[in-house]
Amino acid sequence: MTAPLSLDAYRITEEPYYRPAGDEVAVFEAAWRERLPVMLKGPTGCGKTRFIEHMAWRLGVPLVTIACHEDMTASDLVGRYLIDETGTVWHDGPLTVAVRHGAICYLDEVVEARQDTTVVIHPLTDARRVLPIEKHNELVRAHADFQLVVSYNPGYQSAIKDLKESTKQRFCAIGFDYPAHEAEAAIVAEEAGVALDVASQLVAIAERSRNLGGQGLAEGASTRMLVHTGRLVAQGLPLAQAVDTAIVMPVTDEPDVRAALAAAVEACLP
Amino acid sequence: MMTSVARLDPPAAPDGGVVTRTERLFAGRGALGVAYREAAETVAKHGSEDDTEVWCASVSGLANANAGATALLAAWQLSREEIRALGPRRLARIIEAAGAVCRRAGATAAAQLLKQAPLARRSLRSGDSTVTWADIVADLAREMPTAIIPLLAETGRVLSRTDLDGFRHWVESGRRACERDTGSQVAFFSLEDPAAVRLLARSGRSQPFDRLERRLSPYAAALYGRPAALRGIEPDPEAIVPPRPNIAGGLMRLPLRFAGADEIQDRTYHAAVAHMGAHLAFSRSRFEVGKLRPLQIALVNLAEDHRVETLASRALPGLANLWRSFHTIGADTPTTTDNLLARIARALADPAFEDDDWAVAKARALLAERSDRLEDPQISREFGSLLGNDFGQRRLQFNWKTYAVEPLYRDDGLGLWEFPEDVAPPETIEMFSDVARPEECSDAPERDDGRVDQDLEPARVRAATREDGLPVARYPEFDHRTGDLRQEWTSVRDMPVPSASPARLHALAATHASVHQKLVSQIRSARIGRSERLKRQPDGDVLDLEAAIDHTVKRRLGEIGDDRLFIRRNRQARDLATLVLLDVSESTRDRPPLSPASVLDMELAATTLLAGALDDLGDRIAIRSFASDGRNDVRMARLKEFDERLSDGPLGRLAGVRPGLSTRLGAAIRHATGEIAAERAYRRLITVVTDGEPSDVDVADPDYLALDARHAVRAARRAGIDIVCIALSNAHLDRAKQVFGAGHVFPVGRIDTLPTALSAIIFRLAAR
Repeated sequence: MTAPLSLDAYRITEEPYYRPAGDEVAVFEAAWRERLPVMLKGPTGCGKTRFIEHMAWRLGVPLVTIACHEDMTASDLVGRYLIDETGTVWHDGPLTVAVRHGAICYLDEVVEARQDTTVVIHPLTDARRVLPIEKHNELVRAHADFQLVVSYNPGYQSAIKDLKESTKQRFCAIGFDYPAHEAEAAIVAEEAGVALDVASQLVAIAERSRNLGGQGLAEGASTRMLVHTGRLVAQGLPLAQAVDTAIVMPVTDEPDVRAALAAAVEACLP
Repeated sequence: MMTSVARLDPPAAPDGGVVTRTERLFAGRGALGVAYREAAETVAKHGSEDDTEVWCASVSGLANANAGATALLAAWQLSREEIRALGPRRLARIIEAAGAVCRRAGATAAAQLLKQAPLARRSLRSGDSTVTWADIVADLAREMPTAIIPLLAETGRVLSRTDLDGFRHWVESGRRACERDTGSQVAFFSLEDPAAVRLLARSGRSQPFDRLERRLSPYAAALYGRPAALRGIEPDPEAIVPPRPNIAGGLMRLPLRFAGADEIQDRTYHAAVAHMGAHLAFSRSRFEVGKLRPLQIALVNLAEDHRVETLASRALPGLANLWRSFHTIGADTPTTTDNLLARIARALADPAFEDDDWAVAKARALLAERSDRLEDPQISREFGSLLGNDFGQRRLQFNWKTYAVEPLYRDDGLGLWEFPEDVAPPETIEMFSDVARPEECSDAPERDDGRVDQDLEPARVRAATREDGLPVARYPEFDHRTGDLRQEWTSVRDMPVPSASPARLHALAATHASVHQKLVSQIRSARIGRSERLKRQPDGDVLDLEAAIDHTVKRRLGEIGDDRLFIRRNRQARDLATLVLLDVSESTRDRPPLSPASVLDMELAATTLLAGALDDLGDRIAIRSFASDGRNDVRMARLKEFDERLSDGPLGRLAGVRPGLSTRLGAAIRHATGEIAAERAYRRLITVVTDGEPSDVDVADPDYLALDARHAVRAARRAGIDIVCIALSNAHLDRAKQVFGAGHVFPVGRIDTLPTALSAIIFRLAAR
């Protein structure tokens, strides 16, 4: 057994900027008090990750983030034996660390993980709140401060990548979407360090691209993209060029859609 | 069709040159001789001796075609009048084309060609194009002699609406559309057939609308958050004013090309779509016409245009710049109603525009008074009635029929109005009926532009049933001569399948049991599937970390570790769906040289063995047969479904196949592509089993069906479907290679070479 690991590195010390769009903070706090598993649903770049960072800071709990991917195995989450000069040594995976020492464990883009990997979280998400580690022959009881949070982008949903029904039904869900125009402009202005009217133009452009969601674009420009665009503007790039670089070019490879989007962007700029 | 000039060079004749001989031909024939000499002298003055000889040869050729005095006089008149523009050589080629027309369609047609040549030259603005024009006519004369006179009679109308390529294309379309029916040929080429007019209008250069349509629709969606349905407006040859965009039942209709230069087309279309989108977003209810006069309606439209543009520009300021750039009218233009309306439009859009006319000032004032009520469409109506009264006092003429709204991008505004049937003043009714159009355009513009994506478009199911097979789909066909995809050109019917005793096939399978075994083992070992990551392998590219650690742990514990420590990526399971397409046309009845069995029997044997092997392995395989009797009768039979085991049912149907009819390969491939596309498998394979060459009763050009089939093959490959050909006869191997590509044709001369061919196919699939 390794020495109790300090989770200090996972503590968030400065307040991450987050502007609530609704009552999501209150909802999350209620779920936290009951340590209920929470699922954050919403399109890419709309603030899910930022929200959980903000909540971890607000609640004073360490946050262990795991970006899920296709090749991730249960061992990657739970832990494995490693070898050192004295012999084998068990090494807790990030999930086990959070369970053992008390942290919010955030599985980002959980659908990316294979379904057979995801099932290891099941015993943690019901009344048992335990993590059985078969290889280590151990049953870890969850720390009082442990909470499981996953994020999920329903836009990606396909027959191949979807959560098992038995996984889905273990979570409370908070829906996220891009904020309303003024709120989003305020966010972009704050995050990118640009004037509010520039931010407002960027949001107008993003709204045009979101109109194309499902009609040529998989998803419109995200708030994150706008922040990136705004930062380019703050670096002195002309607005049109920044928009082209950080929004129009990345968002699609289809020439007609790109041309349509570029024309719509032109319509947004005075 | 271009005839080489060299061919016209006269042979060295014992009785003097061609010039002398031609002269002798007309000498002593009174007026004819005089006219000839006159023309010959003009030609001689404008060219070298050689040129003159070529010209003389063409004239004597025309005379030898029994052209008669009228045609000859026409040739000479043409030569005298057009010598400067065309020169002797081109004249000779046109006269030669007239000779060809004369032989097929008669002297009157030939004379007509020569008489219309100057008009063609003026329309096409090029001597060489005029020669090509004459050649195209001569070419058509061979197949459709009765169509020539009607066609030439409409030369002016036809060439004013298209260019040379368009003309060629249109003639080709007419040739295809009418086939052997002389009545419809005449109707088409005399432009009596509306389809001919429509095709002509679309025959020229590709229209900007077609090019831009795909980006305009997402553009409108991006701007206003609602998808826009766009339609092209077919040019109306009778129209007095150039078409303007219009809104009909939520559709945006746009001209195929805006009058004016190419460079502004893009901007104009964007401006028009943005403008109509603004109407759809902000002009929610329609105006009642009531007692309004046409001028007042035009003014209401103008105010409404301004109102919606202002509203749209609030969120989208760039649009105001775009729209403003189209207002070019000056304040100094003559004060006609049309100009005044355009100036008011400009004044409203552009605050910097200065115009002293009081109507302009009043228009600005009227809207300024109402600027706090911009959301209310009623202000447009008030504006129209008030300003209309003032216009009336100025006695300015306004004619709706000749009025075209300015600037160019704006819609005609009629989509904003509710036209009551009973109470409208007569003038309004007249106006409305002049521009009447269907509320919903169900007649989507005829697609004749060869869009590739539509090639695989399925298959509209037609309702009617027929006792001899159910029509299931229509497919386009590719015409290599025009580069066009002819929409809905072929019909595929699902034929009932007679069954026969499968005993013959059982026996056949028994004879070839060893082939069967080879096939099974070959296919079994084929790695055609998704790639998988295999852990704990004895060798591989990456260390399997977990296996390595386990291994070390066991070693430390004093146990013997497992030394399979690697991860390997592998194509594991075979995930393959196969559709076999059997050619059962009449030619499969033949026996290849030295073969004991007919082609069809070999096809059946090969298919039975292949299907048997795949079926043994539990792979999905379907079998279809095809034959055709003209483009509207492509017959396909479903011999085995994907879900079916290879039992006596499918074998009986296979045994029941009888050869007959022709091979319209392209349609069959398109149908098979649609079917296999619905299969969920990692690899999907169409195997065409044929004796070679596509053919059909209604097609004379041997390249036509082959190149169409090649088009269908390429479309299938683009859709991610593998398609190969098992060729059972060496006779048409080159044709098969042309259709499928050399690497995709596998000749099978005898059944026992089938495994070799198949292993090549499998190797090809696995290699990718």
